[in-house]
Amino acid sequence: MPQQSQIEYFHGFGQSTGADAYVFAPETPEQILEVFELARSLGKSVSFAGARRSYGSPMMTSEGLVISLRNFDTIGPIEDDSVLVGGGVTLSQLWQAVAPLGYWPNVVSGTSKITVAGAIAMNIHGKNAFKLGNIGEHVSEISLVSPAQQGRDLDAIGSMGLFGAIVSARLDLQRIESASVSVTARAPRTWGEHLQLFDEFASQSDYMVSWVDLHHRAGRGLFHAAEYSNSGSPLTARQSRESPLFGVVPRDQAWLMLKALNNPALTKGLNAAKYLSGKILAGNKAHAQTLAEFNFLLDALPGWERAYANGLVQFQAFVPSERAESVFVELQDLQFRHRIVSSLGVLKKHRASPQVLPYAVYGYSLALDFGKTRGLELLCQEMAEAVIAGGGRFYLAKDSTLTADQYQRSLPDGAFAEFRQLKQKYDPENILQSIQSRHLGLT
Amino acid sequence: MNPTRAIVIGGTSGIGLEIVRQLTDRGAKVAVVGRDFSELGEFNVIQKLHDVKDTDAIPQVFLDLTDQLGGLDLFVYSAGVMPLMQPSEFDTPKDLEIISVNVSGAVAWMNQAASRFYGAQHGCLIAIGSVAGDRGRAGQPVYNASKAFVHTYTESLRNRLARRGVSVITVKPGPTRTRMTAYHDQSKMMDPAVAASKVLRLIGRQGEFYLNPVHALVGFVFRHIPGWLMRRIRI
Repeated sequence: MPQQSQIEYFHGFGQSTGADAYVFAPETPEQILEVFELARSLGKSVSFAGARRSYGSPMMTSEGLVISLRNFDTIGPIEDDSVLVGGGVTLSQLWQAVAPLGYWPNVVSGTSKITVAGAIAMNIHGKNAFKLGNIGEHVSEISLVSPAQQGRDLDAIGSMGLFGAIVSARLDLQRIESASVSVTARAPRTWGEHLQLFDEFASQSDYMVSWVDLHHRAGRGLFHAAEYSNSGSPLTARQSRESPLFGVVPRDQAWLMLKALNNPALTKGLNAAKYLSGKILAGNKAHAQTLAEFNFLLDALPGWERAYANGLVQFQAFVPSERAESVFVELQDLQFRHRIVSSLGVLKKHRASPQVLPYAVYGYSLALDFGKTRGLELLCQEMAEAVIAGGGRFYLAKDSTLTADQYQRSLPDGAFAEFRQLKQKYDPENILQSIQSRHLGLT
Repeated sequence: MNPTRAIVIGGTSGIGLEIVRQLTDRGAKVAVVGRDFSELGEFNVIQKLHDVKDTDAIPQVFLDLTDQLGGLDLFVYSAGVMPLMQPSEFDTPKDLEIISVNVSGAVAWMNQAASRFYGAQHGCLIAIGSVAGDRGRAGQPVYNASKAFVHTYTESLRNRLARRGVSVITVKPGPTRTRMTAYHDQSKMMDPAVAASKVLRLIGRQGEFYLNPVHALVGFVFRHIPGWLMRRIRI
């Protein structure tokens, strides 16, 4: 193996799967092509690793070559409310660069740690998915380096890194008057009330998200809707909570505390406490939060994923509106039946968004966090069947449990064939592969 | 730790062969590197015919094997030679043969494994040393020195790799009933299968280990025998 590579152990964000691979950090498109060439000569496959925040294994290929785009890290000037950024730039770097100028990326995920290339390859969504769709709809240009061709191409949106390296992209930005959002909270008591609140607030809100207490049969939870404020926090690059938790616990150590508290009985109690305190605090009055605090909830306690001793598995289902409630109730029933109940559920509203291997639908998504445990795989398989029966789909950035058959059945007619056609165009020799893509029969 | 993918150098006879057998029984995927596969029998392992003296070939062989295994959790260097040596014999070709197998081959192979484990930040590296490496005895000057090399070399590797989460184990077996000791009385020697199971129980730990508590005690005394006494006693 050439000198510039080093073997590294990779694991998904959920820490439940891992593999060793040789890492390369090319600095130019030509050097990316050299890695493709090397893979060809060694008979190995290549995958792309951004910030490694996908839950499963799309960023790795066991004993293969892994390209990091960390050297493609430039942020260009803002032109016509858009900005040209390198694929290795993180959303965190991006918002901190544009917020002081009065801009915010149109679509951001629940963590800001991810890279732009990763965001586009996964076609991420945020809490405004019901309104703006996925990030791909806000990308006007992609510079793609593929094994077969190089050029500008939007086909890479949602391509899971299987078409080539997204070395740069032009992202649309929106103007903001302040760094604050005005947040309204409600405490729905049932699944139905959650979905009603999403519909009620959709027209007047910029962002919506709901937390669900899965231990509670009726599906109580806390709903939050937010809209941009004209006044509030100044436009700065510092918007997040860095103060110690409860005044004493450093935020990057808090996961140790979470780990100590992480058992089913306590989780049930904590969920109840969260609901009750949220209900009391909800009131009718809106409160202000910064954009970063509201959007990047997953970054509030760095390392929280390590609170799950055996790793974290997330199961996220996207279900059309008319079937959403019944499917979500069924997923909850299955969890009770298997005696494995999610410690954290998050609901969002979506609309369809065009991409290869589409996952978003007009409807809702439910994301469920589980500590990895015996029997979880079977539960996830059964939940996947319920989702497919309800016309639902899956988001590969979160997946680590689907079977190839389930994934392919969940795709709309023709989507798989279209993917194969594009794969043939960009990577006819099938050099770009990941553990996940092989597992799901994509490569 | 239960290794699922292992490479055993010198896994075709002696303690190495038993290690291969026991790893395979546990369901591990094993690649065996050796010069003579006649003793190995019907084993479901990856077989690689290779002479450790061919150090130039090692990087590519290592890469091929890790590819075939789909990764690496355990690396065992169990190749070693100890030719019969007369008290009056000073035979350079014979001595250099010992050095190339026990020392040069060990360095060339362990560099590959160590470099990989260093990057991956996980793994276990086991080298078979010997009680014979504890002192320079009259009978086997170069064999003794070669095992002393293995001890010090792997101690250095341990100090490099332990902080990367890698376990490095130096094993010091005593006389073991293998081909290497065939020209001695083997009745009181340790069975290689017993030695192998003791070695595999060490996986994940750090340090130098004797396989027999008596050896540990004798070894301690032995290491402290003054030079003037070493010159006079027959051991």
